[in-house]
Amino acid sequence: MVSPLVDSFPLALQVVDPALIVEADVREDLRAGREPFQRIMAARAELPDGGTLVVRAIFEPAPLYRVLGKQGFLHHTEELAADDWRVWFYADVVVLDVRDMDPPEPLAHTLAALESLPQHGTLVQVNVRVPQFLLPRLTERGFTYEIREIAPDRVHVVIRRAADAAVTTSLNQEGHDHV
Amino acid sequence: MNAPPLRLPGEHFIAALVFLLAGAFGVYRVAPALATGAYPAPVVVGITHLFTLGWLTTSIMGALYQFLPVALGESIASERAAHVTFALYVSGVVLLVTGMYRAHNILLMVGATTLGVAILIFLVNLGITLRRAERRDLTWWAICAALVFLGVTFVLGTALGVNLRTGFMGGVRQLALGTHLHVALFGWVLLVIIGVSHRLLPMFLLSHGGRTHFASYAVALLATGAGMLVVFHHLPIIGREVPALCLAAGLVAYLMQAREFYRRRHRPALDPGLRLAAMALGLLAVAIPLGALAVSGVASLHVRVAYVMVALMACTLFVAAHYYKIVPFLVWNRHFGPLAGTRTLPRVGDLYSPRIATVAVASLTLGAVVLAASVGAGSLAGVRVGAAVFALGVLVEAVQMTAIARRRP
Repeated sequence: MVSPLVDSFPLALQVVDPALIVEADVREDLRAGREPFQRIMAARAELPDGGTLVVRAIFEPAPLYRVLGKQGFLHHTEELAADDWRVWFYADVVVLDVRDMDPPEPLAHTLAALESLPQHGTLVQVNVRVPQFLLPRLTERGFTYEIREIAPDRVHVVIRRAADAAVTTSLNQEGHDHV
Repeated sequence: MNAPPLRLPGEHFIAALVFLLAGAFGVYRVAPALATGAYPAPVVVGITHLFTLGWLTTSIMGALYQFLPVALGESIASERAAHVTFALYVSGVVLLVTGMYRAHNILLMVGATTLGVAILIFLVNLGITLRRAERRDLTWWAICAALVFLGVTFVLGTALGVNLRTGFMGGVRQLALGTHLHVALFGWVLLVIIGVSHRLLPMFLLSHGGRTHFASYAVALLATGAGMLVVFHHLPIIGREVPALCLAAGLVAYLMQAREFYRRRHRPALDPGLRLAAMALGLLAVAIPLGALAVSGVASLHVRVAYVMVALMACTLFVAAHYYKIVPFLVWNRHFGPLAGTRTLPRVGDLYSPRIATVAVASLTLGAVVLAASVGAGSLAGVRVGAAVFALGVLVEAVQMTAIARRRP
């Protein structure tokens, strides 16, 4: 599985959940002269909420930028070789990197950023440890959080409004029910 | 995380600061005894315990009540028991130290009994907390070992107290005293310092991604050294040189770990608290050659007393350094934290004047160095000057801590 945890990647890409990555490698299709668009869109349809689509192609798939951009995806492109391109399409989230902040600055900055978090928005705090003093304050202010311990010195705290999380859970549940 | 309210660590920190103030001014009073190397003098023993029991252990207790739930994700087993422990402990220290200082046997016995009950409740309370904790990392092991050595320290101390009345120890009193001292400083205080600072130093220094294995060696070596001292202190080599080597190696390992944290810090500038911690670590490094001289038997009485003073002052300064980090943080979190995000708030560093804190740091460091050097040289004037400068530093820090505690939005 590809990992988005690369220092040179945009922070919003680094914080995506690897479990929510769907890959579409269309290099063979392109070499065989087959149209890959349907496969890519099928992979897009499989994406869970907040998921990331990784497209592998033999040239830069520039037309996809606009198509998926309209659906709210940002993209990051890697040229691995002249005929090997990897493009990450990922959700736009607010990322706050607090790794070089003195405690309790991370708490203050995160709570301040949450005040202006748009409806249905997600804020991901990048920290070096689980921010124990922040967690009860999030609950008090009506947010839910998910802790992802990525590495010994890297923790992602994914924060959403409790109301949004409830809707998402409900929709996902309905989706599963339909399946 | 269910950290206790500010009151529990707060009451410990207030009492500890009062003990430190009393101890600092007490050092000035006992300067003549210190200058002659008369460490067994009741007044010196009393003042020493104001530092070890009053300042260091009270601070550690308060800090652990706050720190353990955050570090291990496990609430303190009983907050009520912790408050009871505090009341008994502080009363015990006051009675015991007064008994020691005045060579008053009844006060001594009542104080030791009260203190024993307090320590027992503390050990049970923390023992249950640690047993429940799922996260068993270096901090967990260090604190577990430290708690065992706290119990051993108390038992040895009580035996030494009983010996004052009965003389049952005879010629082994010196050995028992040395064991009591080293188990207290290296087994109890230093192991807690390592366990706690393993989390706090990188956090305060913004130092991450460095090597952390030195701390594991330090805990293993110090626990082994202190354990060997307890079991074999009556035997040559295995009860003296080998544990001394373990303790020295453990100290070196810890200093290397601290150096790694400092070297890898992301912000070069150090605030007063972290500067004082660095000074304390430097002083701890000085204790190693002095300890080697003491073990080899070539050191004079003055140098041996200076060695103990350097080790004690290093621990004292290290804990004092962390007050500049912990107290403002707790006050900010309690009183300013609920308003975070709703309006502009002062930063933690804005809760006190760094310039005044620098005066405290300089006075504490200079005082400790002059004091230890003068004890080593047997200079009464030097001991008095060192004690006065040190007391000034303590006074400034205590005033600043009081002002921080009163800060409100």
